[in-house]
Amino acid sequence: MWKWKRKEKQQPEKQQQTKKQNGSLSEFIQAMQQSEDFVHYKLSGSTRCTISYLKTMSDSKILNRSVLSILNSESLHTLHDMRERIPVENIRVTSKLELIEEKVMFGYIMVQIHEKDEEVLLVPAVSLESRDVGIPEVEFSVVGPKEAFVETLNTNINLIRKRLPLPQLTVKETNIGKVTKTRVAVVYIDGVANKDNVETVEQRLKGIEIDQLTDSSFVTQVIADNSNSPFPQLLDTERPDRVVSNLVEGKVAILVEGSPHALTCPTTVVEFFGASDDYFLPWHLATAFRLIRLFAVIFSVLSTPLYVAVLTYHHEMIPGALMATIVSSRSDIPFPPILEVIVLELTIELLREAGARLPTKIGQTIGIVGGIVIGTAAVDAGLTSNVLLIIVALSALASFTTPVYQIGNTIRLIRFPFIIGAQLWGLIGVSMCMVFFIGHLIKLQSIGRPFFEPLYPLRIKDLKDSFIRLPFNKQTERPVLTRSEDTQRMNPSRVNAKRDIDE
Amino acid sequence: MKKHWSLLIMVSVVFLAGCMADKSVEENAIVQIVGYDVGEEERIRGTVSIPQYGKSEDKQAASELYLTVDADSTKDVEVEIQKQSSKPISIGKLAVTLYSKELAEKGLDDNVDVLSRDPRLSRNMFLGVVDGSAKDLIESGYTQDETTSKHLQGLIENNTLHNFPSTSLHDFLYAYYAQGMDPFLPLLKKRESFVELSGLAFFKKGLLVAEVPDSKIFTFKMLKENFIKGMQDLPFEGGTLMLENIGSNVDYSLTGPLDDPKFTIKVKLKAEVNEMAGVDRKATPKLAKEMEEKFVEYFNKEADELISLFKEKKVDPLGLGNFTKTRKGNFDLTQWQDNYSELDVDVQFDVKIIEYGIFS
Repeated sequence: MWKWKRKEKQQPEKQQQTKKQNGSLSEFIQAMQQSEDFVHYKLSGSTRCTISYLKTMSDSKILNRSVLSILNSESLHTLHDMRERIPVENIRVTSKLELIEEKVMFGYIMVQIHEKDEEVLLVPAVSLESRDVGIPEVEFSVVGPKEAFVETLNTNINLIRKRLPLPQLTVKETNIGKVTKTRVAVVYIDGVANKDNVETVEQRLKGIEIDQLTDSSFVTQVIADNSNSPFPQLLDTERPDRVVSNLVEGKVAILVEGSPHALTCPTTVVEFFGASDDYFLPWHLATAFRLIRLFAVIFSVLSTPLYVAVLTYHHEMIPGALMATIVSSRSDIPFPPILEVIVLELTIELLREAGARLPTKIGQTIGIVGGIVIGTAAVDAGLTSNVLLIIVALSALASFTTPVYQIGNTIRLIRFPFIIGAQLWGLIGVSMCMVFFIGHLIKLQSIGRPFFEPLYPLRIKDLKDSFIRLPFNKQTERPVLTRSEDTQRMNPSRVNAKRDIDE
Repeated sequence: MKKHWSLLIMVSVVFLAGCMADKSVEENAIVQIVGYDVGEEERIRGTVSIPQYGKSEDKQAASELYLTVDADSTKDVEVEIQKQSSKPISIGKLAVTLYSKELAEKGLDDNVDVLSRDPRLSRNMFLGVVDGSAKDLIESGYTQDETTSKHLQGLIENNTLHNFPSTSLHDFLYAYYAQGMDPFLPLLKKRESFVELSGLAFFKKGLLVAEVPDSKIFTFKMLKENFIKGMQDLPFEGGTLMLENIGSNVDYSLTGPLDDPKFTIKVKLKAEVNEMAGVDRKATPKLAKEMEEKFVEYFNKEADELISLFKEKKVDPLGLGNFTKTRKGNFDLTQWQDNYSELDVDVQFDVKIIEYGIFS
């Protein structure tokens, strides 16, 4: 009953919208004149014309030096004459209202011969405020390149292109967002990236129906294969070198104007635990660090649930040597292990949230206050046992080892279902949660490619760069995951050829 | 409708979890050692020790609470002890179970059945037979900083790395249920202020039938399993030699038909002589040769004695019957047992002294 009423209401709105788009240029100018920063005036020098532009978006240098000086010194009567005379690249003559609106909003200068003319000249004079390219702060690495993406799309593409001087490097742009009309670029290497992957990404981007797109993480959430999953299904990175190496592997990158993060896909869960540092170190060291990181993640998720399960249900699992320590540290505590764990875990989460929201300098103080004062005070007051304090602190520390921030958040929250499972059913509960999460990971896809990939489906070839990283001469093929059109990275026989010193 | 059911199951699973008794470790009485004696009127007297862990300040001192009850059965001991304890009894951490010799001579079959079927119990648990009363052995604290269970556990575990053969619940049950194999357990004896392993007790099923003193255990272990790090003293020319085993290897072989089997047990021993007390001779290769011959003779004698003891008591701790069963298809246990006392077992020792220490 209500549905048709709603439909009726929507229809006139739609008509209004279309009307707006079909309105005339003078209506657009009228609408714009409501804003103080829109400049619209008649030029009465040697060339008679009307100039309009947004002074906050346009570069006054181009206007004064290139446009006004020509128009004032020469007598030009048609737009085409002006286009030839004005020394600015990419000047257009058009009467398409849609294009005019879009360009003027970006900072183009609009020139009309008469105020009522529908045909205009558009001079690009865009001035964009942007930050300088800085060092990566989220994915910092000690060695290796220290450039990070910034909020300007052009700069970001520049950072990628200068590392990949290839004609095949393709950049495709679309505008997404009903209100924000944000520029989104899809970057891939033609002939290396799988066509299906590129098409899937483009198709999904086209299908996005959203009013605003202020960051790349919006795209991650909207085009994810399963938006209800806690796991991010697109890898976001602020390092151009990481994006480039992903592109070379045959992946597709998505860049969003206004976001200092690039997204790459398809990705796997293992990739989230690989840092770019891994490629800058000798392979055995990198492998060891990766395994440490993997262990840290498992420890971070499972240590407190195991504490709860073992102390509540499985006393026989406590090693004999630890028995005295655990029992005597627990004997003062008035809470059962589950409450003790939840209180401490929440404290750590509070510290993290507080630390993340505060400016860096105060953030450090929070860490000290939280870590030392609250921790020791809680133990002294007999609210938590010191064994648990160590475990919780270690698991918090371990969760920081994930090189990608997004998965760090997932790891941070995922342990709570485990803790509840541990309290309800002991180790069985922990295993049930584990089964649930692994089942979920197995089902998960990243733009249609399996997310749990080198493990399920088991692809031995891709294990070479997952939990371990073999040396570069063993990695002569692109990952199977990307289904690259050119599977060979380099010629294995030439890689392994013996290079003797010339005699 | 289907959704309704799954929701109902989920909710009930969550809420029913509240009915589960969940007591944290410190709220449980964790029994780590239990001893069984013969009680009055055909009952069993069970003794447990429950470690009392202090608050965080004095966690070093280990005090224990000893509880003794008379019960009708092994499981009843747990019930009776519960009546005396303020905390629920948790037996998952049980590390040592002791039986008095008196009880073992009456048979442990009922008890072994309970041990073998309780999933909470560890298969690494040690069993032992006490020469005397298990209650007394448990109740006299030995060291200040260790609980009795930890002390006895360490005692048995440490000795299985040396002269004693390994005897865990797993080994015991394996031998107990295997055909043609009989279990054995360490024999403990309480002295004035300490406990010592005084020998091995051999069982016929659950019944204690024979014992050997600790001086013969070295030989038994050589016959039973490969091992290193044992020590044995031997008489030699009026003095004593101390021999250290640095690797012994045992090999069984079976020849002849099933009705007249012939066993050959070959033991190769590499040894080091590290003490000669009362032997006034210079260490030379010739002396080593003499020693080797003497040792072979000595071990042969010891082994023959052991095997004739086994034959006499009709126990088979070496598992010769089990060995035959795995080699011969038509193995018949009753026939084997009838013929066991006439079994032909030939033990051949090969001793090599490969070290004498430093001498000039």
